[in-house]
Amino acid sequence: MNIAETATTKFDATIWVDQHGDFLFAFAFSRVRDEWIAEDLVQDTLLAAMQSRNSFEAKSAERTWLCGILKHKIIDHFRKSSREVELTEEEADMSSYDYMFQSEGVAKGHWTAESKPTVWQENPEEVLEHAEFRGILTHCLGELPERVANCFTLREMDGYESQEICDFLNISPNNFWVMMHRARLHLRRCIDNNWFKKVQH
Amino acid sequence: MSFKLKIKRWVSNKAEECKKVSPLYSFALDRKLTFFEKMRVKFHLMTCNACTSYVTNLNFMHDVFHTQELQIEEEKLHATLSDEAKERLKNKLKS
Repeated sequence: MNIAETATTKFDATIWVDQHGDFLFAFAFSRVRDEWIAEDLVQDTLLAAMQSRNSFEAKSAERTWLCGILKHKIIDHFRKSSREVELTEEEADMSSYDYMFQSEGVAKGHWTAESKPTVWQENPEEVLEHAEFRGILTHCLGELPERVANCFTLREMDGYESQEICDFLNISPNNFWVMMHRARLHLRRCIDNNWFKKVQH
Repeated sequence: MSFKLKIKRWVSNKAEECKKVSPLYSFALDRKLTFFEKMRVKFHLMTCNACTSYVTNLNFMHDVFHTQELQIEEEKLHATLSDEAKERLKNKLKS
């Protein structure tokens, strides 16, 4: 047995759980919004990291390396939940948002009084300090069909390009853009109703 | 229809339906708009306060998700593993 092998067998990977567990979990949870799935993803990540520990180069920080593996695991998870090529009816159905616009009269096609956007007078950093607001974000994303929410997180949190996301999820660019529009329409209204339209915090 | 006429029609028809223009605000965040799409957005926003607010709301949402991302990087964690979950993970790694 050579030295490298000895080092591997003696290495205690449980130390990662204490050092990086919470970080990896918070990262995964922000994407999948489910504690159990997030924990599974962290577990898969750490197991994969143990396997490939020899290929880890000390050049990059350990956490960055682990997070890189986690990102791949998250995309794999999205890919699995996005097997069908065709958009489901629910995902493609834009008419479910018709109620936000007036259906007749001189102002046909304009926002209804209830859905009309107004300026939000708050600062993103401060608003995120409120646990209630963060809960609303998770709740509103959770109301979207799964693949629509996945598109949104990949784009807005991870900053992937449209084409990359289409490849991950096996969807056409047109479907992707429509799903993003759908996600934004819904999220904007949901956040507005649950936070900004309520009494000042 | 000539180009000039098209422009005139857009300007005069300042009440193009918000519903029809609204996808473009989102598209603009994910791809380049065509020249005509840009024009439609521009003319519509000139007269529509609700849609102008909508666009600022979309930017706000973008900032919120981006800020949340930075906070995770700074280890301002709003979700953490429970002690039991940590035990479970450690046991998995030992086996």
